[in-house]
Amino acid sequence: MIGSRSIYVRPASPVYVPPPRVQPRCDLPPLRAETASGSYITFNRRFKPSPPSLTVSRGTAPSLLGQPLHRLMKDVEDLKNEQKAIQLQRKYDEETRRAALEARTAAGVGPGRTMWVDKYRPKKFSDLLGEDRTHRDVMSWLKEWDKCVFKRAAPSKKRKAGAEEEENPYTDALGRPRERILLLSGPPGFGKTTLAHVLTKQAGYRTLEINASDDRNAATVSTRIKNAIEAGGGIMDKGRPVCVVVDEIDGATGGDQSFVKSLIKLIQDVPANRKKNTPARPLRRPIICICNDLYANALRPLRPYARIVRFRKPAPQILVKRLQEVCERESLQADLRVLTSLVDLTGGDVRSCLNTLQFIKSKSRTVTEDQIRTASIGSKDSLTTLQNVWNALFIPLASKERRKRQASSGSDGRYIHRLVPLIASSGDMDRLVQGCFEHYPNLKPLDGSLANVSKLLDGPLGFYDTLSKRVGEGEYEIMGYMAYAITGFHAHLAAPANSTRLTEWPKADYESYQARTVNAEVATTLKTGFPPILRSLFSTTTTLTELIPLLIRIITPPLRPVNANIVKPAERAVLDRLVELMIPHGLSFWAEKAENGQPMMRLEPPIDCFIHYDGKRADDVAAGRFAVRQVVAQAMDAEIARRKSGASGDTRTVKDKLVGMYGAAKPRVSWGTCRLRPRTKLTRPALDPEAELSATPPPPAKRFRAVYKFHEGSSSAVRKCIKMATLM
Amino acid sequence: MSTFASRSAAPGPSVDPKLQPWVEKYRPKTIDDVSSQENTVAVLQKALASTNLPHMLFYGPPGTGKTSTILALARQLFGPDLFRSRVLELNASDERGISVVREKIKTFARETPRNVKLSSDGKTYPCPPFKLIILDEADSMTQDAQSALRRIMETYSRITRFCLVCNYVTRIIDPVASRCSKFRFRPLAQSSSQARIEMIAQAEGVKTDDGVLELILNLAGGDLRKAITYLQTAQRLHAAAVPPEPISAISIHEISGVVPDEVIDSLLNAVGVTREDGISPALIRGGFETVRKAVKKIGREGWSAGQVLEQFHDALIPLATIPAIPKSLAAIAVAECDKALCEGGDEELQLLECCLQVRHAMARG
Amino acid sequence: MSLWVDKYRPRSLDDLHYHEALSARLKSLAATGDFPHILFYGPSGAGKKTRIMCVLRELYGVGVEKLRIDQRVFVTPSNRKLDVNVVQSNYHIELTPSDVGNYDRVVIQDILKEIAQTQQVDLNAKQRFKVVIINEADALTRDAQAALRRTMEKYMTNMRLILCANSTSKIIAPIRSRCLLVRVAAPTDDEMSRVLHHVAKKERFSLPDTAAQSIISSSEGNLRKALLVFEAMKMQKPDLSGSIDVAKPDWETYIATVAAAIMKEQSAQRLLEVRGKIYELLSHCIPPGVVLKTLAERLVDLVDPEIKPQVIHWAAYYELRMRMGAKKIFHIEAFIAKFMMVQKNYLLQGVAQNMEMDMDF
Repeated sequence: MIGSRSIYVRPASPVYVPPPRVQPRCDLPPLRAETASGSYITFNRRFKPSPPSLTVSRGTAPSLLGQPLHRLMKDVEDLKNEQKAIQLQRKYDEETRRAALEARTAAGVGPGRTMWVDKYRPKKFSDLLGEDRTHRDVMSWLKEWDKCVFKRAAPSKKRKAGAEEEENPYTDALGRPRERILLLSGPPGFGKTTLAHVLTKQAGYRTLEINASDDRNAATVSTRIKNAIEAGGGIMDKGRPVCVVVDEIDGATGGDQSFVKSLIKLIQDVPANRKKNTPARPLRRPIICICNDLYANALRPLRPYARIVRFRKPAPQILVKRLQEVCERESLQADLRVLTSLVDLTGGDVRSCLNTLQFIKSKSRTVTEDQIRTASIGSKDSLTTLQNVWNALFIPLASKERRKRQASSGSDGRYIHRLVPLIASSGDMDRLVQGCFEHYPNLKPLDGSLANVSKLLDGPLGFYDTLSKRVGEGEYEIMGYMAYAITGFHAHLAAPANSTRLTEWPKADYESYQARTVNAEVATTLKTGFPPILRSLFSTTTTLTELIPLLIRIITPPLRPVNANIVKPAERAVLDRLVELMIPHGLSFWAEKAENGQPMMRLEPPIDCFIHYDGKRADDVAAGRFAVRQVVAQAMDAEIARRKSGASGDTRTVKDKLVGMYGAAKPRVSWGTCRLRPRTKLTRPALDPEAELSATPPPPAKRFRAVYKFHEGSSSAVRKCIKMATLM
Repeated sequence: MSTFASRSAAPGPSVDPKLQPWVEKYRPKTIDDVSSQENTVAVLQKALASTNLPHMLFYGPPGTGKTSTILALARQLFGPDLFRSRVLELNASDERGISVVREKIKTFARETPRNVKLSSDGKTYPCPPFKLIILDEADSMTQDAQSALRRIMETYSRITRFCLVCNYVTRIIDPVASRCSKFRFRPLAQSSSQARIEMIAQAEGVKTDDGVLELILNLAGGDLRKAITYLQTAQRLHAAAVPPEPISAISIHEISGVVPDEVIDSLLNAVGVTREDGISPALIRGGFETVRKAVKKIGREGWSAGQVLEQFHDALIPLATIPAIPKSLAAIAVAECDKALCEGGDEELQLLECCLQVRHAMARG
Repeated sequence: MSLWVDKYRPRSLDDLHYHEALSARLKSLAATGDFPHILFYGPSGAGKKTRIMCVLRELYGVGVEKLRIDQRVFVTPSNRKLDVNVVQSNYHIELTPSDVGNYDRVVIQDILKEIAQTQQVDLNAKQRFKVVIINEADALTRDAQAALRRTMEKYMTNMRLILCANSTSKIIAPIRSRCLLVRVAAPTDDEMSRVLHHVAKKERFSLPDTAAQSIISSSEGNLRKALLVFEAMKMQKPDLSGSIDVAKPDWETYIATVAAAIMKEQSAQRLLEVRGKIYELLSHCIPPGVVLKTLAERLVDLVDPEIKPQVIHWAAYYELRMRMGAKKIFHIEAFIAKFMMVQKNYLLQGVAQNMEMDMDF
């Protein structure tokens, strides 16, 4: 390829451009003209090139023709020959290339330069894998920007937008959505980045990606993001406006909060320079942030300002189907079963699936289960040394081997001598011990009385752990003894039978650690929402051990899911109390769709994780039923609205409150939010005319339009707003 | 009191004498005032007369007058005027890492003392031609910092003397200790500290119930500073009451955090011991739950496990009616529990374990 | 508008429900100009914090209840930045050392210095000094405590310290001797029942004695927990009559099931299952020390009296080792394994004895 190319790229330009390449100067003087304003413009005369054969330079030519005719004829001849040669060359190139291509496809090697991950990256909305709903959520958020960015409302939403303005207490002069930033979260490899890119492109934006490779701090926000956003759509990119995609926002900020902080400033329209008193330049372009861990510490300040979209694993069938398509295109034979197991192995990570397939493709034309296993094991098992150490610890030397050692080195084959250097060279002793710990119950020679287990835990494990703590505190002198502590495993557990049970890579501890961080973050979030007095009454520990479990019980009374205006007084009192409790403690319910499409109300912050053990809810806590939580959420909205409207007269009776609740509940049920977070499932008159009469929400006597809403089925595909007139 | 200004180093407003800790207020002014450390005082008297001092290392339990002695000595040597320029005092709350030793101490040690002038108060002071560096609580200095000291001590010994004050002489590295003459401070004798306390009580107009002063000294266990602090705290409480009432024994108990005897008795009973008869088989039969309940009760009432353990030990060990072997076993159990508590073990669990062990030992005897 | 724990928290020293003598003493102390540093100690939920807030109110009046949360940034010697949320009012500031981990010395020194160097600006303030409250003072590192002792004397004019701790054992002697020690014992059962009935009365319903008793016995002198449990039960079952289950934190229930599982079978397989459960508990942020202690207590309740002392012995032993080690799970599992061994041996012995007895017949 390279060779053929070098022939092809012969310096061909002199051939195309006729000999007199230097533009001869024209000896006529330049023209001058006077414009209407009185200034002069000079027009230089341009030399009009004539056909090469007729090139005549009048000033220099001694005869009529610049060159003798025979010479010109010869030139023409040369030129013709040369062009012919080039054509031949091209033809030859084409042929060789085709041949090479054919040869390569025959050998089963794809175009070497593109990774399949890039090659088969979805290009259109319809190509995207995974849940449509997630995609649509993101898309609709992007569309909400249309009004601001493209100065037009999306045609399908024209009516809604109007309604929104009337209903939504949140009005933005620029027509931006309430949350100006989108936070996409989900595990790696499920296509979050792809989704963001495809959707922004589809929505007519140019994407500016900022990822972990960029230095991310406050300066980045002001230099790159701000500049890009404020410059608007340049000429460069067909006038498309910019949409910023911040990839991997949770990682690689290096504990530097300034990036996230200044991002928040940006979306809040905080003026950059307070002193100069310049009005802030409001944010006019959407920003999408992508993260793996929604509850990462660094994101805590950002979460309240962001529309959060959780990304779920694409269903394995869809994934398998896509992989099949890829295999077909790449003429790689793979049956469904094999691909399914590949998807299983990688845990739905598309990227890793494609990489594995491409890797296999480079070796053979069919994919077998075995290949997949070896390929994925190969990718995981880069730490064979640790595996070796484990084996050495748990499997005694075969007697033959032992004898050989005795003979060769004179050592009597004692294990400590043999093991200590091995352990010391493993490099990661903590992980080594963790592996031992997680593995030992699977090993053979555990006696029934558990005496040796207990010795083991006391001896090597306990001893090692005390040592490692001291080392962690800076007493590095002790480090030399750690390897000796580990050899104890061999003394207690080594047996030939263990060779069939290989130690697995330890993960339980890390998983528990991860879960703990997530939960701790939830608790911190809860605590941040607390009134200060509770913060000082409950320490971090007592919050977890006393407050949260009991608080959940307090906020889940056995309510019946009935419409709020037909509840019994006792129940209403409970409901009132509940609302009063949840608001000051920063608790709320968000509507979401569960994986199976069922609507659900999620507690936010999700402290109910603390009453779920082994994935099961505690017996004595009522299930957070959707309908009940919905009632509570409505009551809360009403209460919040009431408080906002300033009608916080404490003398109001319960009935008044309820009426107020209905009168004011309306403004929150906005179309914008409804589309994403359906609060209402049934067709419900959003406004009771009676209530309106008696309530007449205090100062801004707004008139509310009755709006009816209709949803059917668990899929949100069919969704339409219908006027009452159509129904009657 | 001006000499002590540099000790407390309080800049700005001087402390209201009413608020000043009595410990500071009644510090001995001369080394003759120092209570009950006759040997040390005698040696220092001689040194004072000859106006020459070795490097010194004072050690002994807290509250025995180590700091007071060296401060009094310094005052007598230099007088109030020169005190500031000739004496550098550093204690544990000051930064004393190796960098401070290198910078601050070294700079101070290096300066040559200036000539003697007549003191402003008209008295003459010996004013020997050297400076004094007092390192209070020297046992909390790091090894590195101590090592850095040793060279400085030698190099500038012509113009600088060091005085190290500590509780545990073993924490001072040998090279430093061997450069000093050591003075051991014994716990104060009851009589001399009683005289001191009575003097203070009289000077401050403290009214007490009978026997309270003795109680204070008892609880303080030879630590005069503790005794004075108890007295002052009790005085605060009782003077605040309207009308002021004399200090009672109960409030002294409360202040010192000492556990009342009834509580200790309940624990003793739980492990099968009474103060009168020693081991009582009838009580031992109470079994596990009795012990557990007793320990839980102590926890609920908020007593500090360390204090309970100490008093439990003090009550149990002197009992003559307990045979040697159970008593030794009990002593071991208490010691182990104390160690566990020092290492941060859970109070309730460790105390329970200790009591169970003691009970087991008693059951043997 | 808030939880009963907060709503019925006594606001002034006169409102306190128990330890009247202590309240009177605190009151007279607050009245004199000579307010000392104070160390409150006592079990969790006994009312230390409530008393501290009452004392503050006595000192400064109602203004002290206007709390706010400030975010402060501290720089450690290694140039790491720490974000700490601090609860404070115009007159006092609260610190919780466990929020800052190993850097508590830096934070404490910074805050104390700052407080000490600023004079009280509010002319209406009743006191010249500000108060610094240190929660969980027994969790302070030695370094931080050593740093405190000097500052306590040095800045006496502008600042008073109020320390709050569960026990004085872990507080170094120099600090103890500089503070007025105030012990707050947990309320007795009678006192707790009085408080519960008081709350019930204010909420205008009557509390059946059986319910009160079960709440009290389950909370072991922790009034704060008792009030939470009470409110949870009231919400769950408004009439509170008949036999009702006391609301229990889930982790306690879960540990009870773990204990039952351990009692049922003693084998390596079971050990592995139990490990999963222990991990589950740790993932829910339950402190490992609490897990071990509670588990030991549940087990002690279940085993034969003869081996109870042994269980406690091993619990104490491994609890200490856990504090000295880094990976808590190792030691919890070691305890469970040891327990299984003890229990199994005991059962086998019992069987052997029975067989002997059979043979005697």
